Amino acid sequence: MSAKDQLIFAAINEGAHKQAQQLITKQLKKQPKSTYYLTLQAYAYLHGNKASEASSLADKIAAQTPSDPQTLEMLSIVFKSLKEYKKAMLVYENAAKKYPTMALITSWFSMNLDNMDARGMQKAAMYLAKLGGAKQRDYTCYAALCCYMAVELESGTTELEQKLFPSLGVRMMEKLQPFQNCQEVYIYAKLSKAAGQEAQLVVDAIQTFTGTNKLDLELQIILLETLALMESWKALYETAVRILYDYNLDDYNTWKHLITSGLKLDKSEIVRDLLGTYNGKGSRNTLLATIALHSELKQSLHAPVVAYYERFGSKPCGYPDLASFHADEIFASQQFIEYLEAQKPEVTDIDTLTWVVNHQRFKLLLRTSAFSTKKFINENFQYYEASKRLLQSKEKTDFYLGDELLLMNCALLLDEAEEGKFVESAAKCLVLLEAAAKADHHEPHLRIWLVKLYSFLSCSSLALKHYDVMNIKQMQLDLLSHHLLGRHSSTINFSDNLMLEKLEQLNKFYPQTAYEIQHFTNEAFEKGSYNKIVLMVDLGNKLVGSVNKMIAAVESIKLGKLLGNKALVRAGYTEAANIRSETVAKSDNRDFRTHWFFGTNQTNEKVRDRMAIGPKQTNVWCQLQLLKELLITETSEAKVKQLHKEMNLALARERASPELTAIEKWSVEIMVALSQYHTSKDVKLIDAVLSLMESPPPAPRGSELLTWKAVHHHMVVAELAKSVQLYLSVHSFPKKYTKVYELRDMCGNQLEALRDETVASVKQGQLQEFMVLESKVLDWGILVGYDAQLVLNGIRSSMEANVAVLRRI
Amino acid sequence: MTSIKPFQATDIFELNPINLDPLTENFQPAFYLQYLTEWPSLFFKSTEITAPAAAPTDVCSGYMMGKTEGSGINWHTHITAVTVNSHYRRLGLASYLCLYLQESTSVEPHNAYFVDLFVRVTNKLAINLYEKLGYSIYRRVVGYYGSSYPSDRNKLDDASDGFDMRLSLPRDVKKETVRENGHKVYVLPDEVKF
Repeated sequence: MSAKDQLIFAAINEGAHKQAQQLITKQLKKQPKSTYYLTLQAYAYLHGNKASEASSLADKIAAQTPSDPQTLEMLSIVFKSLKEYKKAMLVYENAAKKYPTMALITSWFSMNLDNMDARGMQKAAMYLAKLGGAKQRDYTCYAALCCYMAVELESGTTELEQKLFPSLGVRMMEKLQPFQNCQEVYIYAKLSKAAGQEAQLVVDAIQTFTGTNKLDLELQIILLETLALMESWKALYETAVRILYDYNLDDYNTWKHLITSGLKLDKSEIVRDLLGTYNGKGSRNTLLATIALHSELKQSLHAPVVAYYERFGSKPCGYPDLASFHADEIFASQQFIEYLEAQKPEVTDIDTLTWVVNHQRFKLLLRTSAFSTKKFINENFQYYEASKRLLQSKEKTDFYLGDELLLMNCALLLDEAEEGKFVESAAKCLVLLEAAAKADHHEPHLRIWLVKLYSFLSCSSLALKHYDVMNIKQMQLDLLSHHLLGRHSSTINFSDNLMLEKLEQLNKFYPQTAYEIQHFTNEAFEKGSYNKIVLMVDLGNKLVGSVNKMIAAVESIKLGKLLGNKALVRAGYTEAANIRSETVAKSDNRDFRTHWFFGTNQTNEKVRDRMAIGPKQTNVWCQLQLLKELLITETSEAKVKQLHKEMNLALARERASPELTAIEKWSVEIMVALSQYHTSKDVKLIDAVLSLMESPPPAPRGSELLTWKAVHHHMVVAELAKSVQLYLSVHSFPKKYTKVYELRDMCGNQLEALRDETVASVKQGQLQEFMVLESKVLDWGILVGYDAQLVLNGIRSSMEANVAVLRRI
Repeated sequence: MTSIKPFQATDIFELNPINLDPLTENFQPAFYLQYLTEWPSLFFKSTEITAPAAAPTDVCSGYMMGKTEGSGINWHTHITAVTVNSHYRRLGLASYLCLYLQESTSVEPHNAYFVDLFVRVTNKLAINLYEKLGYSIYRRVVGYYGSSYPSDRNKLDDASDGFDMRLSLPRDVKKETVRENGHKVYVLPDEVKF
């Protein structure tokens, strides 16, 4: 980029719109026919809030069918910013039709790759394959793979294209035969299957390419699946035997194929022998495959289950391995529990502890008639106490299954807590889990539970402490940060800079990772690693549409506004287009499962909902909150109308599946009502707003004062009062209409009251509730020997700090 | 019930049960993507069917990140990372993943002379595992895991030194790529070149 162009971009980015236009005009005087500078002018209009000028100029340039890559790239950016995706694509397509040069097409392909646009890549790759040149073979593979990818990722393909592309890709790949590497065979096999071609062609392609060599893993899996699909039992059986014996690969999926084909060929006894004698005495896989064989033959599972358990009952996998068979109607639950009871060892070491924990997990899963929750909880406490000494002899970083005993108990205590006693149970669990985490510093399930329970009790600083022990970073930010950052801006002590850093860390992670994915997807094409590309593009798209990213953006806007942090607000608004767009596929990548990988490994939905920080936030929550923010400051009538239109759609989705808390809903409704004034000019709307303002949903009471709900309620009220004040200052009202002043005063009074009376009454109420909680927790016999007081003191001071934050709003 | 499958980019979403382990490095996405791009067949995972059967799902129980590099007799396979989910430990899964890599790269198209890896000199458990698989210490890399660069190759420090362990593959007919008493051979990190 030339120095002059750099100056133009700097002016645009700094918001110096007049200067930018002057610099562009100067260049256009020198080169009046330059489509590039004309496009830059459209780009500058766009940034100067002149969308309609930008749009008409961009249309004018596009009509000239420019062909230099710089202009095309910029023009396509302008159209995309205007949400004119089809036009952005057409810019390149038209240029490619008229001037199909390699430079232009590769630039088009790269642009689509950067946007992770599979359909766009397919179009450009077809031109690349046509132009060919020295990389003819590679470009044919690009085009064929993109045909598959466009269909597989359903990226804007029509029904006709869904049928057409795979066949088109197959024809292109057929011209490359004989295939030169397994990547080419992979593309052919995938396309062939998608096109519904004869499966034998895939088998032939794989076998011809591989010959007597060892099968590539990817091709091995495709071959087994294809043979099974064809019901080609003899070939499937022989291939499975070859993998299991010639390759010596003890692979469970292959054993399953051997069983299926063996039974079809009437070789059940041979299969049974093979399973029993594999590598001498059989393996974990063969013992489990034997259970699967019995299941297929409808024979009792008990003997093979016991045979497995004798060898693996003292390993952590003992439970998850066998539990996958428990739903089988011939799994003899009662008989198995009786077997476990008869074998119960004394806990002397890690092996016996593991055996006992697995036993407890099965008891909870199978819940036979003798099961009693109370007895079960007591047993778990006893086993945990009896095995605690083992914690002292283990390495700090070693895994310790004994923690599951406490986790199972916590989940049950929270499940069984009576209405109004959930807070008490949560506090008791915190005492237990704090002690467990102290004894087993690196156990992540304990830490996530501590983060969740402390967040529930509005103790953000304590939640943060445990979150940090896990050293959450990189992709885990997208997956796990929601445990800490849910309803962040309205529930935490936001004067805590460490919390703020978490949000900033998240805002940096996404663009950096998007860049990395683009780079390596391009590399994967260059290096011919075709079998990794489809899911790289999928990964890229899942991060672009990440729900967690969108929530972080909205929280940044809200929190930045409360703190007067403009950088944070700006960072939040970078995501605004994606949040509003319905064409961006939203992807919820958040991990709600890992912290339930204990006990039965099943999520207890009742407990999950009881300790959630409000209804689950997804894109509807993001849209409503963003639109609410935009309505506060938007002054253009046309834009307000558009925002209302989007708001109504989002509210309809909200009604179908609520994502707002009651107080959030109240806040959104007030902003919608208030903003209607802008388009209707009906001053009576202010009356409606005043009446809504006077009747917010009831504030939390009783033990709810000890939860996140208390801070959240008052924080949302305060934020709404500030938003209304801002709205009234940005928009003009007839001076004679005094109700506006009434509303303004009401907001001021509300904020005033919040800082004094509300904080005082919440604090007083909290104190009373806390005393009751404290006595109940300290009275619980189970906690003798635990430092319950220390945990309670921590809860109290963290809670107080959070309430004090209301004074600073 | 372990099966072996190729690793894919979206599998990064499924690594929490493994990567939350304190001894497992949670790399930046670029690192995983680089391995997928450069050595697509040497990055694979082990999967398990987990309970309950009503909704049987595949979970990733471990993964192997490997690569091939070097030239001439130094053309070899390198184990960059091998790690296993805590619930699937003590089953020989790490060995299983190592063996698969070893067998895959001892034939065409890789046909390497040896496999190597680095391990902390204090990680007895891992050293034992590799020795059982036939690996031997080739040299001690002084300061390999240190935060500052060492100046003296004879100044040993268990806290930051690593062993370079090797296993020769069938192509190395004369066993030229391994040696006895490797633990007595000290080198600096930049002397480890291929």
